[in-house]
Parts: sequence; structure tokens; C-alpha cells
Amino acid sequence: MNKRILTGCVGWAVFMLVTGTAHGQQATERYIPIGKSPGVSSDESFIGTITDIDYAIHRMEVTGPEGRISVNPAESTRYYLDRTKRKMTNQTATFQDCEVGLKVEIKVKADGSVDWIKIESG
Amino acid sequence: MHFVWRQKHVWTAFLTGTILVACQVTPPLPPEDSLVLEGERLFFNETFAGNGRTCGTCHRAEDNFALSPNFIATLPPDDPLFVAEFDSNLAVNFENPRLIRELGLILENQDGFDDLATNFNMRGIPHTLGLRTSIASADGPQTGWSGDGAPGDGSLRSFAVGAVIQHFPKSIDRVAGVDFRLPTDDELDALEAFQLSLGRQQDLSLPLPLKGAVAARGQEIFIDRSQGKCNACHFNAGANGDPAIFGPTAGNLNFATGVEDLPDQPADLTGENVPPDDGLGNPGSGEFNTPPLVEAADTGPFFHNNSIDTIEGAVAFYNGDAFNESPAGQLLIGATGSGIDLESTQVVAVAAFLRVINALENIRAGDELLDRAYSLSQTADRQATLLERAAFEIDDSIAVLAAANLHPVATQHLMMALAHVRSSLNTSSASRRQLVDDARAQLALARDQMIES
Repeated sequence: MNKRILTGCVGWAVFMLVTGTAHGQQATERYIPIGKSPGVSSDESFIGTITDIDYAIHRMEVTGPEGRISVNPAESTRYYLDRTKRKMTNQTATFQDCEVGLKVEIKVKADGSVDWIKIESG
Repeated sequence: MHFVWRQKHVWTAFLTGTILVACQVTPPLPPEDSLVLEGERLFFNETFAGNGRTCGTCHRAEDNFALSPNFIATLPPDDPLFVAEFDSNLAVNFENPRLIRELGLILENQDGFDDLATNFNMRGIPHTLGLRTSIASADGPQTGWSGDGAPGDGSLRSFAVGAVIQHFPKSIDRVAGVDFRLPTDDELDALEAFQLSLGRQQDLSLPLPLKGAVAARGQEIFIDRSQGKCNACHFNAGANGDPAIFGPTAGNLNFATGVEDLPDQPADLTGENVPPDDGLGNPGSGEFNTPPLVEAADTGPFFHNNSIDTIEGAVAFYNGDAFNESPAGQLLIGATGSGIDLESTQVVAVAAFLRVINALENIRAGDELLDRAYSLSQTADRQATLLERAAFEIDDSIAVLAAANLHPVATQHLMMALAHVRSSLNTSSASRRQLVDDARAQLALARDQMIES
């Protein structure tokens, strides 16, 4: 898959690709490390480092090997703190846990909204 | 401005429609395909560096790839199913041993892991038969009791990852690389191939030319939109919605049928802490996934919480207030003008239909296993495995029919078939082939008693 990244805000996607982007069991996703989500990582997610963040308007910019994106997570977006490398249990998190310099993985749904964000614990 | 993602799959996108994900289900592989065999090996042997459980710990080949309380009672105390009883790291907030042993209920944290002491549900173990026909839908694959059983992309392939995390860890910390390891991509491919290979590869086409009067009448009631109405949600006795009602691409659906509203549920009667189960989503919609009915009669207890033990009881559930007052029941009333109101003889007739189609499936599956034991060059161990599984199927068919006094002549043929298969397992290979052929002949005679050719 090629991911063509345009700078700017995540808007509403015009595509209705529903290829297996069905209801997933959200709960166990918490314990899956960044880059390891089956059928999602490298196909339907973006992995990079937070390079800019605005807590007031809930926006952050992430830069990775495939380019740079800017996202506005919704209220429904789930956040997970990935502490796998520290051999500690993963936790649920919030937008406030996102900080510049942290590695994240962002999964976007078919409608363009952000499904979940995993934050690598520093 | 927008950013555009182009996905790996090459399906055409439409603004107003969706494509039935069933199109993505890979075609059947030969049952002895190397990928399927590798999946089988993983399913029954791979612990993923966890607590000793495998997929087969709960999905037993001997018990129709499910797990019933009767079978649980035969297990030794150190079976990994009971890990919460002998591993102190899993003694709290991992399982409820009493509910496992008495009711076959397993603890699930489908709504999250933040509060393990209160945020859980107790659910039965569904079988993994006929998955090729029963999980695809217009909204994507529906796995698990509430149709949302897989992380990642939500596919059957990814389901194993969620299962390892939920059921296999060494501790409730669930740290990847410490408490378990994640399946590799190749392992997920193999596990998926194996699971899809199990059981029916296609749906029935009702009505079947059944010979038994009661089962035939039960089939009529099953299909009749003014009586049983079962075919609406269990089209062709499967897991999918009737295309004429729900649309050509509906596939497998979830419904709020009111099972949680039943009084005197067995789990509640134990006095154990059994939180209400709100089904699909968080917060839940009350909806649960529709299972196929061909496999029902020998895979009880029934419903997501094992609240009903017999197939007759499961059919009778749809007569009651819990169903008729549920959202699904009200939907049915709106669509058909009335609720379901069967007399007891009609309930028994529908159950008889379900017993007979289950027994026919057992016969089909048993015959296929016997054929596989000899149609390919098999090792002695592999041949024995296939013969043993054939014996399980035939044994089930006997139990399913005998419990309701259905087709006694067919039952005699099935008992002879079973005797031949069991003898073949204790016989030299020279004599074994004849015994297997004799068993298959008996299966054909049994089938002939039940359905027109």
C-alpha cells in the first residue's frame, strides 16, 4: 500500500472502503504494542513521532518514515499507553498523555476519524 | 485539506453502498493442505509462551470445538482450563472456577480491562464450526458472541490475537513478550485456514426432503413467516439474515433478543457475581451475534451465557415474553404482524428439525473424515486422528437423535457405524480399511432413513 500524505487536517474521507474495517474487539487492542496490530499496522495506521501538539484545539502533528500528518482526534478516540518495552502493563490514556517527541501509532477509520492512538511510554 | 490513504486491498469504494465482506473469505483449501495442517498443529499445541492454554483448551475437537460442562467434568485437575485454580498469578480476576466447572462459562473483559473486579462478563464457549458460512456481513466479519470479538482489523484472522491476550497470559498484567507472545503473521494465516476448514463449507438450501414426519413439520414451522419465523434471522438454518428481509448483502447479523432478561438464569442462581452483559459495543446495545443452527443440537448449552441447556428449551425461548418484548421480538412483530406463539408440540417439532439436520451434518462430517483417512496417503497417527474424530461425529448423531426418539432405525445404523470405526482403531491396517468401508455403508443407510437422496 502507498500512503500519500498531504499536510493539513484530517477531514472526512470520501471513500467507503469497508474491507474488514468492521467492529473490532477494542479491549484487547490495549495490550498490542505499537506496530503489531493485526491487519492494521503498516496497512491502516500511521507510525511516527509527535512533532507538534496543541492541547487547546486537540490537534497534533506526527512525522514518520512515510511523511507527516496532522490529526484532530475525536472524543470517541481511544488512547493507549504502550509500556511494553518497559515490561510493564499497558494502560488507557488520554490526549493529555501525548507529548512532543513520543512515538505514536494512529489508526484511522474508513470515515477518516481517528479510531485509536497508541503512545509509547517514555 | 485532506490526506488520503490508499489501502492495500483493491476493492472499489462507493459512497452509498458497502461490499459484502464475504467476498473476502478465501476459497476453501483442501482439508489436508499444509497450511491447514499447520493451523491445526498451532490450534491444539501452541501456548504462545503463556499460561499453558492453547486454542484447543476451550475449543475441543472431542466436544464439537466447543466445551460443555459435561466434558469439563472429565478433565483432570491440572488441565490448563483450570489454570486459575493452581496458578497464584491468575487466582484473582482471571476466571471464576465454579462457573467454569458448573456451567462452562469463561470470563471475558470485552468492555475493557480498567476494572477487572467489576468490568467483566461470563460467556459460554462458542463452537468454531461452519465459520466460512457464518461470520461475514455487510459491516465486516462478526466474530465472538457480540460480533466484536477481534482486535486489529476485526477479522477472524486477528481473532487469535485477542484470544491469546484475554485467555493465555501468565498474569493479568498481560505484557506482550512477558506474559505471552503475539502470534506471527504466518501463524495467524495458518490458524485462520484451519478454523475455516472446520465443518460445513456452505449453507443448506431449505426445504430439505426430510423423511421424518415430525422433523418435516418442524421445518415447515421454521420457515413459515406466520409461525416459527426462524428463517428470518437463521436463513436456511444458518447464521445469516434472510436476504429477502434484510437485503442481499446482510449476512450475519446481531440482534437484541432479550436473553439477558430471562429470569432464573443458571449463573444467577449460583449466587456468584455475574454482571449483566450488554452485548455489542461499549456501552452495549444489548445485541448478540446470530449463531448457525445446523450445529446447534449437539453444541449446547445455548445463548451467550449458557442459560438454556436443551434445544427444545432454546426453541421455546422464542415463545416467551423475554424475546417477544425484546427489540428483536418487536421488530419481528412489526414485520410480520404478530409475535412467535407456538404450542408445545410445535416447539418439539422445530427442535426435531434442528436435531435431524444436526445429525445429518454429523453424518456428512463423519463420512468425510473417514474418506480422508483413506483417500490420501496418511501416516498411522494422522489416520487414527481422523478416525477418532469421525467417531465423535457419529457418537454425537446418535445422542442427538436418541434424546428425542427420532429415527430409531437410523440410530441402529449409526451405532453399527460407530462400532466399526472404533474397531478399526484397534485393528491392523490390513483389516482397518474394510471396517471403515463398512462404517461408511452404515452411515449411508442411516442417512437414507432420514432424507430423500
